[in-house]
Amino acid sequence: MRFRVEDVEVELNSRKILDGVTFEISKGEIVVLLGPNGSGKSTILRTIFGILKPIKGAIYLNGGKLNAASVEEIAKIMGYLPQEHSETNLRVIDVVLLGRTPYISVNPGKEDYRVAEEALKLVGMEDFATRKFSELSGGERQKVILARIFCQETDFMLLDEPTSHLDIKSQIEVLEIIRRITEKGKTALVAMHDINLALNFSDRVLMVRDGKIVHTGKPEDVINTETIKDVFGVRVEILKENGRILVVPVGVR
Amino acid sequence: MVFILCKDCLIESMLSRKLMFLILGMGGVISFILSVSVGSSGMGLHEMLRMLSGDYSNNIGDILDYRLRRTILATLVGISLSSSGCAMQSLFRNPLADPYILGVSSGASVGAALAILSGHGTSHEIITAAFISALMAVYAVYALGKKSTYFLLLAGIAMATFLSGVTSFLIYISGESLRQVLFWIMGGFWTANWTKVKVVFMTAIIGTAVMLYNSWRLNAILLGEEHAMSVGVDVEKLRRVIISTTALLTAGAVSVSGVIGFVGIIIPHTARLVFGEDNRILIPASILLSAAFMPAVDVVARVSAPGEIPVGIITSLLGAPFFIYLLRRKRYEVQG
Repeated sequence: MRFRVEDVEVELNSRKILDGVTFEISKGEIVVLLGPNGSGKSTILRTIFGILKPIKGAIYLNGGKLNAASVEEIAKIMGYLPQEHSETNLRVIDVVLLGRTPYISVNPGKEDYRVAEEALKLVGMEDFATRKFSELSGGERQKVILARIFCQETDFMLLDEPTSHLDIKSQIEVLEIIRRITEKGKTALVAMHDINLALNFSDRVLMVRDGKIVHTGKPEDVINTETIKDVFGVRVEILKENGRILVVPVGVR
Repeated sequence: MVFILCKDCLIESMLSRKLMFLILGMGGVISFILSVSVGSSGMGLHEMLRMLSGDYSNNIGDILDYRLRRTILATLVGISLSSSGCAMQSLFRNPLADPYILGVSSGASVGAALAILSGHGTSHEIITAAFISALMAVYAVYALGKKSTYFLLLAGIAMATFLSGVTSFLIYISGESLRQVLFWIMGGFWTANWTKVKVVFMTAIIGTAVMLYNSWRLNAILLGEEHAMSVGVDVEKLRRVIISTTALLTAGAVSVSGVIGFVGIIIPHTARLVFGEDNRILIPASILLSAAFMPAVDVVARVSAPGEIPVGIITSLLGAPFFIYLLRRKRYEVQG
C-alpha cells in the first residue's frame, strides 16, 4: 500500500487553509501530523477522507486518484476518527456495528455481528457490549470508536486527536491499541498536538504550521528546540534520559 | 467465553423486546376494537357483533362504516406522525424535534384556510390545498436551510412563525368561515371518509417503508454527522431523503386530519424510554404504539363531551404534562 498526498490546497470561506500539502505514507507506518490548534491537522485528515474538497492537488492510493470517490467508497478504503462525538444511548455493540455500514444494504447480519465482536475483543471492551455508550468514560468511548473503525476492515486509518480529553492511562491504552493494529500491517495517520506523545509513539512526524507541512522526518530527528519554536511558538528544553527524549516548555517566544 | 455471554444478553434483550412488541400489538388491536365499538350513537360492541350475524337494523352498517374509516384514519395519521417524529429526532439529534419542525403544519394550515376562505371548502379541495401548501413550506425551508441541520432548524422555526402569522391573519378575516377554519386547524377525525383514508394510506405506507429502510443509517448519525460520514453515510443525501419523506408523511396526515399536536413527540419519546435509541427498534415500536394510542385518544375525543372535542386538543392536553414529566425525569438528557 502506498498513499500519497500531492500539492493539496483547500479554501474555506475564500481563505486558504491548506497550502501545497505533499507527503507519502507507507504500509504499517504510524505518521503523526504535529502542530498547534488551528494549524490545519484536522483539515488535512478531513480532506483526505473527502469531507472537504481540495481546490488543487490530488490524493492517491496505490497510484489511483481518490478525489472523485464517494464517501461510501472511501469508507471501505480508510477509517476515520473525528475529534468530537455526540452523546448517544446506543449500546456499545451497536456503535461498533456502525463500522459495518459501508457493507450493509439495510441492517447488519450475523457476519457483521461477528466482526464487531472481534473488534471489541481487540480493544478489550468485549464485556461492555450491551452497556450504553453514554455510560462509558472518555477512554472507554474512544476504545469503542476505535473498535468501530477496526470493524470497517480498512488498511488505512485517519485518527484526529485520539488521546485528547483522556487521562494518562487511557492515553497509553489507546496508543497501544493503535500500535498493535499497525504491527499487523495497518497504517495510521494521526493528528496530535502533544509533542511528547508524538515523540514516543510515531514512526515519522509531519510538523504542520499555517496549513503547510514545514518539517518532516523521524521524531528524534525532526523534533528539536528550533522546529518546536518555529511551529508552536514556544521555547523548550529537551531532556534525554535512558534513551528517552522529553520536551519541557520553558516559555513563549 | 465472553462473547457467548454477550450473545445471551442480546438474545435476552431481544426476547423482552419481542414481548414488548407483542404487548404493543395487542394494545393496537384492543384500541381498534374499542374505537369501532364506542361512539356518541350509543351502539356498542354487542350491536356490532349482531350486525355480523346479519342484523342491519338501526343503521348499524352506516355507523360501523363511519367508525371503521375513522379508526383507520386515526391509526394511519398516528403512524405517519410518530414514524416521522422518530426520524426527525435522530436526524436533528434533538429530542425536541417533531415532524412539524419543518413548517409542515403551518404550511398546511395556510393552504386549508385559503381553500375554505376562497369558497373551495369541500373535503377534496381542502386536502389538495393543505397537502400542496405543506410540501411547498417544507421545500422553502429546505432551500433556505440545506447548508446544515442547524440552519434547517432555524429556517423551520422562522417559516413556521411566518406562516402562523399568515394563518392568524386569515382567521382574523375569515368572517362566517371562522368556525370551519378553526375546527380544521384544531385537528380531528370527525370528517373521516374513505378518500382521506386512501390518501393517508398511500403516504403512510411509502413513508414508513422509507423510514424503516433508512433506520440503520439514522443510527449512524446519532454519533454526529462526521461520524456518519466516516462510516460511509452520505449525510446530505440522507438528510434530503428523510426530510422529503417526513414532508410526505406529515403533509398526508395533516391534510386529512388538521394539526394534531404532540403525537410526533410523545410517541417516539415513550418508545425511546422503553426500547432505547436504536432506530431499527424505535421506529417499528413507535408505529405500534401510535396504532394503540391514536384510536384510543380519538375515543376520548368522541365521548368526553356532547358533540365532540377536536382530538388535537386532547393530544395537546395529554402531551404537554407528559412532556414536563419527561423533562423532570432525573435521567433524562437533552442531547446537543
